[in-house]
Amino acid sequence: MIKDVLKLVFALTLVCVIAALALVYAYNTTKDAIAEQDRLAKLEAIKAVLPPYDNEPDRSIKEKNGGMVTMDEKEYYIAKKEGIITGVAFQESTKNGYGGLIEVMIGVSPKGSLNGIDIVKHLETPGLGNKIDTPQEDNTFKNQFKDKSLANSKLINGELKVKKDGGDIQAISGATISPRAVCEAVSKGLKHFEIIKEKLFSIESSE
Amino acid sequence: MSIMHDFTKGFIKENPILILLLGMCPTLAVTTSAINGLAMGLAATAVLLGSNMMISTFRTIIPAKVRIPIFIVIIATFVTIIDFVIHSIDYKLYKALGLFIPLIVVNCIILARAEAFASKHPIFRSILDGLGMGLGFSLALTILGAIREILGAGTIFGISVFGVNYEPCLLMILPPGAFIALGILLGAVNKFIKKV
Amino acid sequence: MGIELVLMFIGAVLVNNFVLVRFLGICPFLGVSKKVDTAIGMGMAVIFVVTMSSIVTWLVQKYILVPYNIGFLQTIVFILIIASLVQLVEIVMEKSAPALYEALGVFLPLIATNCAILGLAILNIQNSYNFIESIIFAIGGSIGFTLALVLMAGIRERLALASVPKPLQGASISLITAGLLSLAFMGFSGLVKM
Repeated sequence: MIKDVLKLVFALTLVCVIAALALVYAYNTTKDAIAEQDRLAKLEAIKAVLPPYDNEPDRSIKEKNGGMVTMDEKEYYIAKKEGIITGVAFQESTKNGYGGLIEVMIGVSPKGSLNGIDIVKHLETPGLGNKIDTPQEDNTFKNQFKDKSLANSKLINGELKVKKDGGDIQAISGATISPRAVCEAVSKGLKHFEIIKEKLFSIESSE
Repeated sequence: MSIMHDFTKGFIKENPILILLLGMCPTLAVTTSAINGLAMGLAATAVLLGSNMMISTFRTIIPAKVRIPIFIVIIATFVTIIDFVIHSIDYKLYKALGLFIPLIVVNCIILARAEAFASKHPIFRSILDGLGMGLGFSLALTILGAIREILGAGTIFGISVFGVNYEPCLLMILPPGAFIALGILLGAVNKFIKKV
Repeated sequence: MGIELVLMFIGAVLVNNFVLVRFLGICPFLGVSKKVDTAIGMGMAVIFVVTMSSIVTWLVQKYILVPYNIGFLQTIVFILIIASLVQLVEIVMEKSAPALYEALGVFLPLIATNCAILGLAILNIQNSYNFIESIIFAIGGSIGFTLALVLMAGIRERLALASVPKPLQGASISLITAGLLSLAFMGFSGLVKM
């Protein structure tokens, strides 16, 4: 009786050990490729919102050619062309989307005007609100943010707004809440950039 | 019963989704497009093939009393490996399939084939069974994905079918569309294949 | 903090209903929704096991998998925990609470293969919920499951009396019904911000 139980325990343990070893092997062989894929995912959003660059904005500034500064637990990706800063990308989020959280990647020129925005994460309704994130090159909603800044836009309470709220951002037909939330996140980002840019560039130039 | 039957029975006659009604969760969740359905199907096929092969090989030495936990460990190992492989190949696909890759573990098809077939049959026949069942699963997922994609987005495998003027029937790619499309598909299977 | 938890709870029950929106636990949803009584029994068993398992898996993730850097064993560890927990609950319940065992016992073995349980354990980790949030999410999610199950059973009890075209009988009409139920639940989207 005891012997039988021991046999079962042994069989189970053996299987678990072999399984764990197989997984350790699989993990180690795919680890680098997985890290690279994760990096590509982030880089794609960064690339979409920054002007052309010749450094590597997603590598830490301490590395050669790197452009990433971590400040107050937020990452800033600095793009440079021939040594001159052409833009900064960072994430901003809002909880006021129709499905809640929307994370936006914002690319800003050193002067504070937008180079582009990209939706990193959202839970909006497919077919309606999720049009803020259609992958097509000609996403007119996202593209209209290019060259907008706090200085050259119609602001209501100091923020960019959709036309319905008196601003000059064209919303999406059938969905107002999602574009409204994006406007909020972008405005927040632009204001945030004005506050931190001095400090950010001083860190950058000291490296 | 020919060996060929082991392979082909999963396509139509014992199709896991359309006839046996196993593995409904991923079927409904990931079939928002044909390509997602196909990818999920192939991932499950790979797991099924691996687990069938392994379980059939060791079927004589696995103690009967603890066979279910052992099957689960074997299946979970293959699932985790597939999870790593998909993640390392394409992050977009990985994101689209999301939670449902780890959930292949609790997909009833895999454990059902292990228990009902692989633990009783020699290795070659178990491989054919796993492959056939997996492909039948993939077929059903792709059909469902295609139906939902054509109606809900006007495209198939990303290629436009009806042109730009088509106003997509959004419902089909939303959750209710999954239930309704599969319900009607099962009805059609009953009518034309089972001839009820 | 308190209000956030309440919103999260409502979100898990109604807005992102486990069965009708997230597609978790479809098999028991279709399998044991023929009668309201059994649906309630199954729902109670799920609420109990889900809550227990998310407590254990959360602790294991935090104090074993993360510190030892073996997060890649997550799937295999979680499924083993859930399977053994179900067994354990079954044994303990049989000895200490026979009445409860009588009521829920038959559902327990079915639960180990319910993907809502593993799904919820993984979602807790993916959404990086803290301990309290995980428990609230688990209770909310499983109550949502029970709600969908009981509603479905109520409809199917009526449906049994209706004359359904032959090819649509069985799973087919159940799925179409579930689709309509899911459509109704779509009305909750946008109700709370998550």
